[in-house]
Amino acid sequence: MRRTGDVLGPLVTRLAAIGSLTESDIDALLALPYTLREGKPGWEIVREGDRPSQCCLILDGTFGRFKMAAQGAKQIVSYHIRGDLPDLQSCFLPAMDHTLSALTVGTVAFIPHAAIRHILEETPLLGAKLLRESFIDSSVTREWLCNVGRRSSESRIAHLICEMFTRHRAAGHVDQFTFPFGLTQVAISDSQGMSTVHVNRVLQKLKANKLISSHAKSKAITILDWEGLQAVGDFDPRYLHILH
Amino acid sequence: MPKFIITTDDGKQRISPDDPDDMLDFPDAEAAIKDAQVALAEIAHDSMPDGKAARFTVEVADEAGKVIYRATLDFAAWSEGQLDGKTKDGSADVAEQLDMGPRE
Repeated sequence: MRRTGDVLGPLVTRLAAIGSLTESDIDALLALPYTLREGKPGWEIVREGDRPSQCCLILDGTFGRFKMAAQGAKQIVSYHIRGDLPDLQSCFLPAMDHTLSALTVGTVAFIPHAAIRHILEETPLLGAKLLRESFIDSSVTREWLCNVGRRSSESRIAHLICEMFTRHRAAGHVDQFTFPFGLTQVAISDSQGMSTVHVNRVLQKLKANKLISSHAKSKAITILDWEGLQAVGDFDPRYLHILH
Repeated sequence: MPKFIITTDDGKQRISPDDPDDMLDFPDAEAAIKDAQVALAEIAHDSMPDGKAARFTVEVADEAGKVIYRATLDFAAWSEGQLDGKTKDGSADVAEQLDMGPRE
């Protein structure tokens, strides 16, 4: 098991949730070189068009990848939490096709591409486990496309809450049914393609129907009726490929 | 940023924030109103197709609760047997179908 206090521990927890890791895998992951950085909401870690030389591992906070449409309309295409490697693709696709930014206060560890490539070349079995994270990222994108295209507004938001809860639970970041939820209603509207007023209405409806309660001060959500929320959200966690 | 209290009603469920945390921040009233207009159309989209008549309402109030904007969107539909004379153009009977009497 991973040693407590290891800075890159969240990466081990993440990869262990979606595959099996050997002791030597864990040692190799924890020995990766890194640089730590903290940032506030709005911090743009890499921008569309950049050619980064390092990947970032999320250690704390919620981050989003987004693209800009004409007239400054923002579409957030994914959210990322502790243990995610949202720009692993930059090892293979040199120019960024989207921007990655902090949606809450957050901390990331930058890991040089060279170190990731070394793992891929020297220990391909571990390399495949790293790439698994990137394939799952695509699976989540497919599910989001289905949400935005075909699910009702209430279903979309319930689905999003179910997803964030399930991911936080795998990251060991929940207290029973309460988990960190620092997304603003604007950030939710930017990911769901909805007006903020409508997001506000749906969240209040979910609360009025006793499916969730929210705690603005601690920026957390408690799921009051897990079965009910999954039913409203048409949520099946298979696409997250979490093993336990 | 100023806060706004926004009430929405799809004819089935009226949602009005009773918790201050449910107030929304917008840069100004104009931005709040613009977003509320989009919400009105989205809320209607969510409820369609459903029945023959519906009224959707959105109301924007400032932090003190003073209403600064209200908009409604009416939906009315007629099925085959009802498509005669005065209702054919689809413009006359929204209020009747909504059972609200004449409109202002």
